[in-house]
Amino acid sequence: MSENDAAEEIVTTSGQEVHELHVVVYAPRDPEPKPFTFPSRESVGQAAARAAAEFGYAPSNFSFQTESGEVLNRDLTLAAAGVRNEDKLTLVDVGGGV
Amino acid sequence: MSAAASELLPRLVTQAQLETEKPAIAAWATKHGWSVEVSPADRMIRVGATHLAAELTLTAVADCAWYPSAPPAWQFVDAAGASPRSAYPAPGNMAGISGSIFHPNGLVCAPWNRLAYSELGGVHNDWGGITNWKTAARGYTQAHTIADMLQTLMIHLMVSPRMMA
Repeated sequence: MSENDAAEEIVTTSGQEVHELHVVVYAPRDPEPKPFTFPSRESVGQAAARAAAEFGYAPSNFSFQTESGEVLNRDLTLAAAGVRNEDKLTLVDVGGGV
Repeated sequence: MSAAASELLPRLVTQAQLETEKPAIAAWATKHGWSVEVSPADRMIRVGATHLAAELTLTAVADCAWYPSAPPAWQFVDAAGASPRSAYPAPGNMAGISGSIFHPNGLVCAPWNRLAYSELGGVHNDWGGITNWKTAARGYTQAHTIADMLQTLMIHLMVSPRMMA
């Protein structure tokens, strides 16, 4: 793991290690991205929902799209989905068509 | 168009809304390499959208009259400006997304397209009318700004396997 990829380690009072991921999130409705810090064990869906709220979105089915175009599985943790420090992610609503 | 929407929204309100959204639309288009022309004066948007599998640039247009009280009318159009079924992408599948917004009838089937509502000839009579578009069909695709609509079109175009026959 490179220096840039390494998530910052924090040890909580319970002794459990928590890693933080520092990423930049783009939202289509806002021309300016925002920086976010998420626990690496947070689910993609939860993190995306928090980011969406910061951008003023109503609750919906949010995920992130990576710069390579992959839409991340909302049920995975950020770490399991492969999110790394300094990634640039775009908010996407993954509610399907009807 | 329902009486409710037509009475609610003077042309100037839509024009002002589109002007407000232009910076976000331009930023999105630059980031993703799409051409997006926003014309607040005539309340129209014209999009050059990439279809990866077909290796085509499709043209989509949005008539934004009454927006944002009502959603735009999104259509894919051919070179002559008509909107036959063959101008539409075929639906594709993507893990994590429950269904495509591209309806086999040749329709962008989403609550943010007013042409999807039965009152305007669409297939949905269960969404409570076009002025309910921001709360209709919860759990399905939601996009309340033009740039969010473009993002959704892009995601579904990425997995469209071909054009409709």
